[in-house]
Amino acid sequence: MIPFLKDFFGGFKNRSLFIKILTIFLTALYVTALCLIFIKVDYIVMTPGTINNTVQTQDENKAYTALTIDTEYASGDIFTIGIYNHYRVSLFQYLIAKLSKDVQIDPYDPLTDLSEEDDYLRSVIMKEISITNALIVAYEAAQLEDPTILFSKELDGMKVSWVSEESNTNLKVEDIITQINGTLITDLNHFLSLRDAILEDAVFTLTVIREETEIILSARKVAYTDDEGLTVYRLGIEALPYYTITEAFPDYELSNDLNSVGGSGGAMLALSIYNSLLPDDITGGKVIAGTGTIAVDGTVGDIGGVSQKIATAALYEVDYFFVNPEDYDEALAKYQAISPNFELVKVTTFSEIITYLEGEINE
Amino acid sequence: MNEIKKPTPNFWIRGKRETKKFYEINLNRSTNFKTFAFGFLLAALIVFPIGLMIYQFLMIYGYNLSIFGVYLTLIWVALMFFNGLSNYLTVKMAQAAAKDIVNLQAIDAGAIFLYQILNPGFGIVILIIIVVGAVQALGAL
Repeated sequence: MIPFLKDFFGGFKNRSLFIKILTIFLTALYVTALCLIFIKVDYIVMTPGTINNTVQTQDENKAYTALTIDTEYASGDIFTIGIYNHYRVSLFQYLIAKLSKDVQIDPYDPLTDLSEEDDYLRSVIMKEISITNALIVAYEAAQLEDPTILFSKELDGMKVSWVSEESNTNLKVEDIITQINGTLITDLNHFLSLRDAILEDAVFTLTVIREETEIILSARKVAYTDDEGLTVYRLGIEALPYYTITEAFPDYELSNDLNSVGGSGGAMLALSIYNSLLPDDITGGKVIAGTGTIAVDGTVGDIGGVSQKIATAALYEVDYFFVNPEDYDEALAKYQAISPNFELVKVTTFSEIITYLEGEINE
Repeated sequence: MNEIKKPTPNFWIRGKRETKKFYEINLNRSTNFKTFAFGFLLAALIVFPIGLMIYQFLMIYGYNLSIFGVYLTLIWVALMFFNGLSNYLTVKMAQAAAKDIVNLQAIDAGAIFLYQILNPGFGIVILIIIVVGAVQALGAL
């Protein structure tokens, strides 16, 4: 290689002016390209993604479903929408992302925002809880139509999905809080009332299941400044009700493949499970997609990146797109901007989805 | 008496001929290996930013499957360019390393570069690998 380099640089002096300029230009281009691809910028780029299967029944063979329901009915073409988040992209990615209206760019602060790893872990927990909630909502709704369907559940506690650095609770992600000051938590509202009853500077105990072992933690609230500049006291955690399903007939089997993470597919997952449990196909052969979390009471909750989800659905032959009320305005703005071939439907609860589809099929 | 000039063969024939000539030259094993390895590495280093740019572009716009063919074409073109460059640099390095071999010094590396960029054998093999990889990637979606 050394003789080659000697030849190359030795001969360079005797080259024509054009070759010299071209060589310098190409070298500068090369260095610029390296800078563009290696310099990272503090932005998150959120792009449209794909539609994902939700559920299959025993005779179906769909790719990457979250679970299989042990019935012979059709699960229907019901899809969740996945989007992609890219953390701290390269300068090149940042510049090309700016060229598309379907791609969202948000500032990212590595000091205060969740790291990619922490966000992934949180999203895995969200997914797990959304599947359980979807099962609860779907089985309980289907029970009303078919009394032979059996279902029961019990609350394990509040599963921790995020802990802020300032938190004084000694909690870790994946902990399950079962008691506050020795009082057993019975549901979300009970947890919130127990939390709110704790005085600002009081030391209290949290009974927690950590890696299948019960431990008791000493905790204190931490002071935060809210949007109005007032001091508020919080636990500095995110926790969601975590249920165990104790009985389910027809049976179901969870998939081990995590094709996607996050809880935004909860509502569509519940719809698909519901459809799989009953003989009539509520979709009427239409392709259904949507986004929104599902709570155990059937409330459809807000999610992020709804513009990208609308853009994703537009790439596929979707007939209906359900969205929660909080994200509806953003979804509608995108919908009107790109005019896709599906209907955008605002829904607050799971029962509204059922009512809407039953109405559409009867038409 | 008119002088009859031999027509100059086109770049394709010239490239093929020069490639054949290069392979017929007996370089010693060490020089042969070093020139190939460094030529390959230097070409990889030059093409590397292009490859990484295609990859980073795919990360942002990969969701749009309708233009997936464009990505595959870009990858294919980049690999063909890499093949041409790798062969060109190998010849140039061999020429720099073995200045005493007259036949080697007479080889036109530029013609080899153009021929190898359009080498049908390499092109078809790479195309098959890219298509098979893409089908597997799409099947996983």
